Amino acid sequence: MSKPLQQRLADGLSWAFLIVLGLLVAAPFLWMIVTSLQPSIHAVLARPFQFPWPLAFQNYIEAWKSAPFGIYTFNSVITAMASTFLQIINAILCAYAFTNLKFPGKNIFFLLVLAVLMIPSQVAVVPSYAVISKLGWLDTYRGLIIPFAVDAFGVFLLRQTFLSIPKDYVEAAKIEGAGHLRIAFSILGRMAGPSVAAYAIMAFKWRWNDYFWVLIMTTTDTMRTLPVGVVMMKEVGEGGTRWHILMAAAIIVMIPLMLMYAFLQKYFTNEYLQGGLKI
Amino acid sequence: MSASPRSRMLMRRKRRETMTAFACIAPSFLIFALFKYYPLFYNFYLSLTSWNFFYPIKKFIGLANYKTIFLSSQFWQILWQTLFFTFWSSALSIVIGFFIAVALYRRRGPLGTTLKTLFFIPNITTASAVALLWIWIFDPEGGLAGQIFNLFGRESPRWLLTPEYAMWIVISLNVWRSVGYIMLIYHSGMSSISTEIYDAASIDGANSRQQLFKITIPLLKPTTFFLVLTSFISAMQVFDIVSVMTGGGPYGTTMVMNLYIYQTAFIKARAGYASALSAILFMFVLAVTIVQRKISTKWGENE
Repeated sequence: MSKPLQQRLADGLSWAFLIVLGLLVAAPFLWMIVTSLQPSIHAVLARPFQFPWPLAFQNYIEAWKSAPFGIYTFNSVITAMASTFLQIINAILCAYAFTNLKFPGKNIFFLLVLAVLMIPSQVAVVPSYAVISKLGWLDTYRGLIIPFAVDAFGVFLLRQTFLSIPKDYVEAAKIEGAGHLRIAFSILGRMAGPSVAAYAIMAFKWRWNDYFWVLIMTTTDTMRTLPVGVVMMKEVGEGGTRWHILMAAAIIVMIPLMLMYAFLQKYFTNEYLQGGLKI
Repeated sequence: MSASPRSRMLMRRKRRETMTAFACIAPSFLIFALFKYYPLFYNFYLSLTSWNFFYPIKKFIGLANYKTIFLSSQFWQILWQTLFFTFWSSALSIVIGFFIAVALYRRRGPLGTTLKTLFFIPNITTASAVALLWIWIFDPEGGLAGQIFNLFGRESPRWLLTPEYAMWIVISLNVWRSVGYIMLIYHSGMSSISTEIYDAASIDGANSRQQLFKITIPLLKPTTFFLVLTSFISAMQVFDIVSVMTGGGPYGTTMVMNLYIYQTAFIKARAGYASALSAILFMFVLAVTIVQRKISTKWGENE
């Protein structure tokens, strides 16, 4: 059965709309990649739309060498992984306490979690700086990790997920003599696996891309992470920005998340975070 | 009170459970206390002082900071620009993201999947890195936008140095980064609308445009509402892209609240004044959040 003409027309129009927008969205990426492979800044300016040939992959090496990129990368990896890891541990512990243990003031504590979720406290940048400074944590990994060792969204999300897991599993584990930590991590944590994974990716993305906090809480080059370091690289450049090198650097910054997306796409799709989005 | 051994054992078990629970939540609440609750209250206190970071004494000056802020035309200008940025980047990303979601919904095939991935990828980019890319695209000498002008034999405007364009360029980056997320949330909203409604509408002779305006859009109202408010909340606090791309320029035309707070605090070292600005931004964001929670719980009950 052939579709009526009007419907086919609508279908064609919607494809055209998608493809035009798709090209618009893709153009910046293509421009970044083409620039990053140009052999020199003169080539960039002289023949912008020509395919860069020979492909200058050495730009990536030069970008890597022209700033302490090794240090930035190390700092980014350490701080993003450590805070993600701690966020998951703390979210599981809190979610376990809120769903499976009885303790006085439980509702009040839960309201305090919700308050963190609702209150835009990142706005309070001056006192946050004062706290970090008073603790002597400026320019330290502690200052970049500990404030993000727990996140209210994660606690809330895993509490919702744990609530949906039938109590029988926990009861059975108790009978077998499993302790609190075993139940929290090996039983509930594992059963909530997809939510934990989706949340871990969200947390990692958040910490990996963060610019504001790192900019404020670090002053030395050796404590910068990639998002801040790459911007510093532009400011340092003398005699005009070497865009081909800078674009290679910008791509290096984003490669880890792109790879994560390529391999773990289904955890980026939000369906596992739904329980936390609707409060 | 004579407690039987059994009740004493129960008591002990209960106490042990309480101890375990507090051990589980203690690290988290210590961090919340130190980095969430305390800064918030301390911020309100600091906003009543003329602290400058260096001088150890924080002189209490009452509401003087607020008075200065509300009397300064610069503040109103920046507030207006922040709301302008917030409104246009939220509105454009939601409208465009919605139409992408509608056009792409249930298109499987390789082209559909590729496009879906393509629209989502900007969402996982690093804001500061793509802000550099945007500077390069709008570079008047070698940038993509300028080169396109050159193709037509025109001279490229100095985009980011022109007050009429700069804010829109910043908005365009935010829209580029958000449409994919909007599309994704709409897709999960759309998948919860039962196909029977559409089938019934088709039988009644409703064409696809009528279905869009009479079924899809009204039924997605809660999703739209959620997206409007979450985009508002995050756009009001925009920092990275403005800071990297324009630093608030040209002539302060892209200055937004969070960047203004940052510069006031860490460049001009006016910590008290910056805290008062923070408190005002905080109130704005909180007001939007409260509206969101109120209405989404109301809708949650109706469902």
